[in-house]
Amino acid sequence: MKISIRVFDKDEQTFLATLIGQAAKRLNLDLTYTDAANAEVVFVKEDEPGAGLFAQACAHRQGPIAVVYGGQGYSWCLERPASTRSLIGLLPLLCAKLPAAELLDGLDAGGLEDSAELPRGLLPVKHGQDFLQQVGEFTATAAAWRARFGGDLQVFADRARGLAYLPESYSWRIRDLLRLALASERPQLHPLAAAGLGDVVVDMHSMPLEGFLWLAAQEAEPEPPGNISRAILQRKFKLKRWPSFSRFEHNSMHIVLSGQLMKQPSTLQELCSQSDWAPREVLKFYNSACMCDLLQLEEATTVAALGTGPIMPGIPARAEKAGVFSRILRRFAG
Amino acid sequence: MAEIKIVITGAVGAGKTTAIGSISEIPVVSTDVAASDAVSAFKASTTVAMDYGELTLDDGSKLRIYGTPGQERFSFMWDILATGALGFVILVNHSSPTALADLDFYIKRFRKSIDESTMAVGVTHIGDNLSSMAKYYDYMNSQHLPYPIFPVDARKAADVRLMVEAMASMIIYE
Repeated sequence: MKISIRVFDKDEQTFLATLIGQAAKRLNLDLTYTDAANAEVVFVKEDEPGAGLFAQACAHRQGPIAVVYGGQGYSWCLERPASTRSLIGLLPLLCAKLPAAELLDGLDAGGLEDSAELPRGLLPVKHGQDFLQQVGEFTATAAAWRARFGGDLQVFADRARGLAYLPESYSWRIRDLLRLALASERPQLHPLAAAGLGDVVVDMHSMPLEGFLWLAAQEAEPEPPGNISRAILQRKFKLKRWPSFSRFEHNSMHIVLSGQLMKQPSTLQELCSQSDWAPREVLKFYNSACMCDLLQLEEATTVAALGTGPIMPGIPARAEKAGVFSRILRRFAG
Repeated sequence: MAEIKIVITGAVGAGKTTAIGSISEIPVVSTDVAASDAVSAFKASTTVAMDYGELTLDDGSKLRIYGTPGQERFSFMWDILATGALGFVILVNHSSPTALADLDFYIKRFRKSIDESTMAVGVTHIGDNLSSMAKYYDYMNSQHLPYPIFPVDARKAADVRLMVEAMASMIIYE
């Protein structure tokens, strides 16, 4: 992989090059540094002139992959300060995007802690792990639960009815509430008997519990790939069923990823490398699906696609139909 | 492709005509007549040949949206409408005691055409309790059908668009 580091600050450039070198060594990757135009991956620093424009241009045309150091919201970002761990996560994803994707095959599988299973709520997120894990556990085991956010703000969940009760109809305030909970507020959660909800929720607003769980995980900032166990990154999974998108906020990427994961199992690494979406957004989808208990992990050795499904990629008219559907979706969007 | 069309099918009262009306840019062309048999107990009129709505795409071509007649005795229309369809939306009325059997019937009835295109399932009249969706998910999994299935309100354009968008995703991104 040919890499160029276009960071003006010499100390920072050296720092980044050292870390990239260490990560590449751990991964047994062959890297070449270059200042020439044939670089396949270019690291740029977000606050330097033209970095954002460069990254956007790279995202929309054939050319090098631009990794924005210290940036957010771009297709490819690297948190600042960088760490060897974050680069160990990032470099394989970059490799997979390049034509010579076979570079991935030789990766050293050791080095990071693996976990065989991912319990509901135990997600690779930066903050709020305790909150999400408790919500996940209570939703799986208790008939109902209550989260007290401080003051009079409370959320109730009724598992049997599949509903969450909120102090007001869904709004951005709920998102704020969740962000606070995930960041620092540490709401108190208590399991309840379903009968205990009684009159408490009469004046509250309900939304599907699945939607609340999906939203909670969406609001949680995922860990950068480098901090995520490779057992998670490289484990194939599929969806048990389609999320109930008609009942809660979602976006087109969620629909596409759901379709893909209903048809065949994939790894996070594959999803990040196949799609044009930022790995961060793919991870958020993964976290939401996990929170809603929609993920079905495949056996580690399972690599084959579902063989019994009716999808028939060999149909000659399929590409034509895909084109027509694209036009229909544009019509809906317009 | 001579005609760009999507077929919305399902049993009587599942919401086919309503669904077409929610996304069509023209008033739905219906062939409804006053119901005169058992259907009249819960519907004033029923579709005997087809419903029709349309959307104009960016190149000026028309997306034609056909609704099949719900009653099986008008099923001679089904194959005519299904021929060359881009995809199928099957609507199931959850409040019907035969909802699951209806879903099974329509999937099997159109299976060949679905295999050559794509489909989405919308479960109507289901209310807020999404746990009722479990039996439909179980059915789809047992039949190895990865197609999208959602609880929907046929009156909501967003729900109908979601079904089309989701079934498109099964074809566009392979």
